[in-house]
Amino acid sequence: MADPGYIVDGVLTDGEAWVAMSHATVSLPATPIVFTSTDDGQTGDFSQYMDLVLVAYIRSQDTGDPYTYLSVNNSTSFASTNQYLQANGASVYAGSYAPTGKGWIWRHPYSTQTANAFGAGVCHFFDINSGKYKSMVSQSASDLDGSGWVYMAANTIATQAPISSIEVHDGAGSGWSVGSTFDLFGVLPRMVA
Amino acid sequence: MAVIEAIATTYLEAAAASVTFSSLGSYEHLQIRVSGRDNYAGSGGNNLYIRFNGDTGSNYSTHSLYAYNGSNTAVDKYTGQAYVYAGGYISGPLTPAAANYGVTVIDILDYGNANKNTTMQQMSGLVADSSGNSFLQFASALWDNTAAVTSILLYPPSGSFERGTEMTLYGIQE
Repeated sequence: MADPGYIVDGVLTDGEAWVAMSHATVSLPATPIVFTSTDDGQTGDFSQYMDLVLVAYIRSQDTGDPYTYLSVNNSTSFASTNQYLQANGASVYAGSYAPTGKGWIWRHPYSTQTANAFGAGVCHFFDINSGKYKSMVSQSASDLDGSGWVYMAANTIATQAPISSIEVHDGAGSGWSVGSTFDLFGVLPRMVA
Repeated sequence: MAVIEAIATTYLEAAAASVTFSSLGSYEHLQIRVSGRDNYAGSGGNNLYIRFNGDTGSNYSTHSLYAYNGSNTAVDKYTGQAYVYAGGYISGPLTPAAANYGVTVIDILDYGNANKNTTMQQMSGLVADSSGNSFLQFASALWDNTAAVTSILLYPPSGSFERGTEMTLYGIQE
């Protein structure tokens, strides 16, 4: 088995701290987009990272429900809580959800909204291999040429298991639109004293 | 050289009053990622306090926008503080689940420039504290001093960081 990139000639090194783990471009409407740890000690193995960052540029096939939610470890049975803050150019709104096993991370454009408009989203996951609950902060921007939303959120999913997979869903389940992209980065800690 | 490098990681194995990063290297920007909890008696969640270069003078200001406890929104500003007041939310002892740690991403821009004041921004969240409250915060802070930043002190308002608190400092190349 090959060494991971941060072991060079058998020596532990600190190289690029953000590692591009996986990319997905939607070619046919699909949901959810799933990222699963490869569990092989290589780039795609979640167990070696301190944090994860998910970056997406997305639009859904839904006719309503603009919210992006995710689950981890292929389970929606964990307790979870959310706090969000969003604005539409005229008003600001805050609120919270307690959706079982789900983190409501972004707000994205959907099929009946401005054509060809995609929304940008970034979500940070922290200390993913610890016995802590799995917490994240996220933000999204969906400008619809005269309307639209900016959105930010904190979510906690009450599982103490390491994150081994992430499932990213469009709110109503009609699928992500063709051209939507998702990139998952692993964030390494400092390893060499 | 890597574009983003991990400069230092502190993962507390016992409670500690503070965390200091004092070897900052030569980068364009810094980022600190925090998963934190403190033992400040009677609190459910707190803001991290931050000082640069050990400066205890009244040289810090902050602006913040936040949502809390469901539908509530608020803004704050503070000037003439002896520390960055809104460094990012961490959990307190009254947050009922011991495994629930507040999380923060802090960006400190152009920290090595000796001709500019230092500005930072942070986004943080703590969901479900002692009263079921939640906090989500976006904030800025200014250190009214043009010196290059050479050390960063992070500490809770009172008490200590709890075991399991983790902070990693990253350097971002130009």
